[in-house]
Formats: sequence, C-alpha cells, structure tokens
Amino acid sequence: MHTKNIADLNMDVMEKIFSYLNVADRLICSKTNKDFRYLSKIKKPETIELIFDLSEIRMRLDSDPVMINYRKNGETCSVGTVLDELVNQEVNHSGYNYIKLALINMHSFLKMSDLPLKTLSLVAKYGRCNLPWHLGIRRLKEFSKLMQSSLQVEEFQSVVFDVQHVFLMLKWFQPGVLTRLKLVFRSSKKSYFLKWMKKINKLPQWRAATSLEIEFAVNIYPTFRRDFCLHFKTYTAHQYIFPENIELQDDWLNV
Amino acid sequence: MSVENAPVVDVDEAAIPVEKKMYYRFESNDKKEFRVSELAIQQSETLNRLVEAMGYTSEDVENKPAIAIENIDGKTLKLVFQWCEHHKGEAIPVDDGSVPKIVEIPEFDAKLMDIDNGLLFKLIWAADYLNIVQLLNVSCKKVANMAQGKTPAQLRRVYLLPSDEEDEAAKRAAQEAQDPRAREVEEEFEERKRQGGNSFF
Repeated sequence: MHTKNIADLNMDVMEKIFSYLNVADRLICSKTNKDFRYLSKIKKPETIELIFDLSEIRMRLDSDPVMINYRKNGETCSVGTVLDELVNQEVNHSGYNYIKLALINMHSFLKMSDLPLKTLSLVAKYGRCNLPWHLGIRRLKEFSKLMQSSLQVEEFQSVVFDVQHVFLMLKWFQPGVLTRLKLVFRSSKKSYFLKWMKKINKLPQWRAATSLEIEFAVNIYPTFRRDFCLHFKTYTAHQYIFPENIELQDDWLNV
Repeated sequence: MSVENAPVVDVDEAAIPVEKKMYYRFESNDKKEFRVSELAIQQSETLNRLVEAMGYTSEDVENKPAIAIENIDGKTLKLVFQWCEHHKGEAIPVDDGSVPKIVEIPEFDAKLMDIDNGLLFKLIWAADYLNIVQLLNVSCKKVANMAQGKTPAQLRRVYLLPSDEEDEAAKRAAQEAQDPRAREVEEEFEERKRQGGNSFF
C-alpha cells in the first residue's frame, strides 16, 4: 500500500470519484493532472445547454442537476453553481464579459474530445436576452472562427425570438456534421421571418440536415410547409397562436 | 502483539445475533492485531470469501495465527473495521460497476472520515482492495465533495497532486535511478544532434 495521493488510486476508483463531481468541478479537475484529463475525455458531456437570461447565462451539461451560472456583476463577471435555483460558490472574475466567459467555457467542454457532441442547445428566455452575437462584431467573428474549427455537433436545439439568430448560429457548424435541428421561434413578424428564413434555407448546414422539429407561429407555417416536407427525411411542426405584446412565461420555453 | 493485548473494535453486543458471535483476528502490515465480528466481516466481500475459504472454527480463531492483511497498515485497518462494525448487518449494495448518483454520508461515516487527506486516500484504497462497496461509495463521495468550488491550484493541494511538470520530473528521476546510463545517452544524443550528425549509431 503506497497511496500518497489521489492519483495513486486505481483508475476505476478515480472514475467513481470523477462521476460524483459536478460539471464545473470536472472542468477544474481536468486542469490538475493527466489522469483527470483522461477521465474528462472519456466522460465528456454529450449535451450542452446554454440558457440566456437577461443578465446571466446558465450552462447545463448532460442532465446534471447542478448548473454553472455566469452573471454580470457590475464590472465583473460572477461564476457560480446553481442547484434548485440557489446560487452558491460564486467567484468574481474582473475584466471578463460574462457571455464571453460562458462561451469560452463551453468551447473548453467541446474541446475535451474529438468525438462529436450529441446536442447543443441555446435557449433565449426573453426577447431582449443577450445572445452570443451581443459580444460585438469583432468578438463574434473570433468566436465563430473558433467554433467552426471545433464544433462537431449532431443535433442543434434553439429557442429564439429573432430568426436572424438561427442564421448566424447555423454558420458556426461545419456543413454535413449537423443532422438534426430542433427550433422554436418566438416571433410572429411575418415579413422579417420570411426574409431570414429564405437565407437560412440556402445555408449548406440547413440543407445537409435530415431531421427537423420546428415550432412557430401559425401565420408563418403554411409558407414553408411544402419546402420542409420535401427537404427533411423526418419533419415535425408545432404551431401556436402568438398573442401580440404578451409577456412570455417560462413554461412556454421548454424545448 | 499478543492476542490479549490486541485492540478490539467497539462492538454492540446486543446487535449481534447469537449464532454469528465469532470474532476473527486480523493483522495489519505493521503487526497491529484486530478482532472483528463475523457479521462485520460480511461488509467486505474479499474478507468474507477469505474466512469462508479458511473454514475456521472458534478454536481455530484463537489458536491459529491472526490472518495477515499485508497491504494495509494498522491505522487504516482500524478505520475500516470500525466502519464495518458500525454497519454490520446492513444490506450490502450490489457492485454492478455503476455509480450511484445520490450518496448520503451518514453522520458516523462523516466523523470517521474526518481525517487527513493522505489517510483518507489510504482508506479508499483499502475499501477498494477489500471490496467494501458502501465504504468505497461514501469515501469517494467525500473526496468528490472536497473538490467543490476549488481552483486547480487549490485542488492540487487538497488532492496532494503533483503538477504535470513535477510528475514528469519524478518519472525521469525514477527512470534515471533505474538506469543511470540513460541520461548520459540522452546527453550524448543531444550533443551529436547539435554537431549535425544524422544518426546516433
């Protein structure tokens, strides 16, 4: 028996310890030594969900009950964990934009392995939410470049209020990698929607996908029904009547 | 250590069924002896199999030498047996390789594991070696809890981990200690490379 530190334990035991860690701590552990780095590769998340709220972003990996919370706190960015709506273990990072930090961390998770991520989900909770492009044009370009080189995702899910956001986000993916799309549009401005939907329709990422699940306002659906039916092997549409000028409730937003 | 002087782990006599009242003697690698009830031993799959295979009677237990556990020291073994005695008779979780998501650490276990980290890692090692599933679950959970909210540097201190550089240096030192010629060869190779030689041989 010559156990001096945690790395002297056998790999099965290390794996057990690693399984008990929440996602944020897994990421930290992977920066400490090679055994944890190896474990973080074999135990990499299959699903990443980013929920954009008004001045905070929550990141959930797989179905972990603990989420990582990035929040604007004056001039600093606070990062903490959230369990049952209780935020704890907050650490302040000065000089960081909370959106940028969340996206950098998301990128770290994506880089953990060469294997593709099963699902990436980006959810805007309100129409005024700071989605990634609010980083500013220069930062967004940098980020898009970063994502294009590393983003291997089979399914993309998103809840958006602005259809243009889907156009911008789809461009992150390498054409052909993305096979399933699950989109919820929370907007009923028809002319604007049609303009951007036509652009989306021409994207190679969109053309290469084989499965679509879409939810949008009932007044928009008939225009695209035929296109969707012809293009996607699997296609499901949900329609809703969008009451104008109504404050959306959270339970509307479950993808 | 004589049998009379061997430390006996606290035992709740009332909780032991009459037919199970047999105590085995175990000896750690630093020659510390322990008496442990048959019921408590059942928590360890390894020890349970061992005593079954030996088929000791009550007389054998007293007359034959204590069963040596050569890989575990007395301090660690004491903790292991204290845990087994406290949890004797409890259902043993099936070890199917899966990790239970929710593990509550009972108060007794939390107090027992309120020890320095080096000893805690030894306890985990022992629980794994002796195949004590529930002790392994709670001790791993305790170690995972220690990671909460730490930075990589803090975590290295908590887990007593060397950095990658220290790890590499230790490996190199160990290699050199095994083969003192290795470094000389490496230096010679570097020198030849600098001089423009294509091949070492």
